[in-house]
Amino acid sequence: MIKHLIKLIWNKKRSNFLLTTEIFVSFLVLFGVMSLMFYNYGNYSEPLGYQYENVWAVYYSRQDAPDSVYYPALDRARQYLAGQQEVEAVSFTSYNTPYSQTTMRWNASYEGRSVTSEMIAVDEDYGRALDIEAKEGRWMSPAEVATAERVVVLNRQAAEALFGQEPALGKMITFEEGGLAWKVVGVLGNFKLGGEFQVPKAVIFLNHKAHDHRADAMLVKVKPTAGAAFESSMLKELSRIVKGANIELSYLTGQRRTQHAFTKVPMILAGTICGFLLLNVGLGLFGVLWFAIRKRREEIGLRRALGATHTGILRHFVGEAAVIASFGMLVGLFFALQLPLLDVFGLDKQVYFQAAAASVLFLLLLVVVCAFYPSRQAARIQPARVLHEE
Amino acid sequence: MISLQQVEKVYRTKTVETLALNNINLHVDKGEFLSIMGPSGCGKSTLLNIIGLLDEPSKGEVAIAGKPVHNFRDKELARLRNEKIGFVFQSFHLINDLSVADNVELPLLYRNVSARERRRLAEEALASVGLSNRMRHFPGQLSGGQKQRVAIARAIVGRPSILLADEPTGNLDSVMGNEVMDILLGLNREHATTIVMVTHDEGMAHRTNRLVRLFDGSQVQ
Repeated sequence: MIKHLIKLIWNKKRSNFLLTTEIFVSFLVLFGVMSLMFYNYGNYSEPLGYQYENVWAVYYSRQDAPDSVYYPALDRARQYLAGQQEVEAVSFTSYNTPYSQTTMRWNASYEGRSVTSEMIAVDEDYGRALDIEAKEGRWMSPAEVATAERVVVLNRQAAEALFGQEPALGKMITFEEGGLAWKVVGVLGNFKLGGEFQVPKAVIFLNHKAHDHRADAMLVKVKPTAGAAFESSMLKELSRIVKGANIELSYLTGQRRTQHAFTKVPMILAGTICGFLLLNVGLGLFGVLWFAIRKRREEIGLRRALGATHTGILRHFVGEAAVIASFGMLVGLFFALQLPLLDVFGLDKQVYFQAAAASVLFLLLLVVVCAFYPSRQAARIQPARVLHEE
Repeated sequence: MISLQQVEKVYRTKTVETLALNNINLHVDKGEFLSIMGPSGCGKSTLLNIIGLLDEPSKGEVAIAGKPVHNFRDKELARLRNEKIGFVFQSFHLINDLSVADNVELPLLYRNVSARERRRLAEEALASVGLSNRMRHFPGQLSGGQKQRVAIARAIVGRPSILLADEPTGNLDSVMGNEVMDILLGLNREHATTIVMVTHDEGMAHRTNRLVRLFDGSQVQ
């Protein structure tokens, strides 16, 4: 029967051309949206690597205070925060805090291998503030931070890029040719600085005291009970301690929402356009089939006379719509599969295959749903009546 | 082969009730060639539709090959139509988007017949109506007589024991009409196919074994 349907549709290829073209275009758009969704879902399902709830990021910008005044003031500010009942942990960090949409990328090397990695200057409490546990080794110790030792903690991606399958602990890496060596003391799992939708990338955490730029922010992990009153008094006190600096506070949860909007908005826009296109396809299919059935009443009556059942006629017309859609999708698949074959956007090939399969299934489902009602009407046609219509 | 007992057909709308067939009792034996005549609107086509299981009687009983069909469901009726009955219509009812061979194969699509076997049977049926050389043509490329011969090939490709022909020569000139009639007579004679033919043509009717006349839905002869 499928062969018969293909033959029938092929012989009517001119009248089916527009519908096939519409399905082809819809397939490509749907494939694009699905690829984006699968790509984002794939990233989302990778562990984030830290906890962001009840973490506040405090940023301070230095005005004209000399180092001898500014850094001791920051240390006092840290001591003040660490002594507050509402505070569970506090850590110095560079300005590229999670979800902050800022970045600091350096090239790290080890014996001829190198990786461009996110660099985050931190202290011994960064792991505690974000609830991060080392998979191997440990976080940098208070003593190492206090004595400004050149120690680093790597995430999994950085360790794999620099050392492959070799153990990372104890190895010495550099950040510039002939530069000073930094000792690896710990390896983490993922650390997705840009948030859940980010591809896990290489991140290296280095002792902020051994780093020229020191820290420009603090991450403050507070208790869930810490409210606006504490926030207000804390900011006042910090302004008093670190004189001449502008101090700003952001919740990581708020920054996370903003960051997610950057990913979700294009996806929602593309999804909405795609939705309208699919609605158009659905209505088009419905209309074309409705018209075809009115035009082919005689054929339907004939098929019934020759032995087709009600269900047979229903299946015939739904099948015809599915075959027409399959023609459009086959051409679409040809173009879509060029993306993984030519590795155009550098995405995992599986994303494209999943998107192609989902697009095919979705369009087939749409076709079946839209074809069902007109096909049911076709199945109800009385053969005795239509075979005598002139 | 075909038996109708006290068959009545009433068409009802909200306001009008039309008696299309009234107390029809008809028996057609195996291998018989019966023609049905009557003025337009007397119920000839309705009778043929009921015999062909395309319509149900309002009252009475229909039996095909000894089997009463009033309790048959759609699937069983479709199967009976497919296996036992062939149809030939006045306006041919060929599918213009399918080739002659594909049109002839149509009834076999609703049986479990392989594509190769379908093509063989279609070739055989087309040969029997003298159209072997037109297999790849499309209906639009054929004359009226050729179209009707294709329709006959389609009706006999599944080797049905009953052939129902609704004014098969109605749209043809006398030469082509006679050709088609010769084919039907040949099928009846050589294969003992039971044929019921509705016609307006007295000449064609007198070439058949028996003539039934209808008037206002009733059998008058």
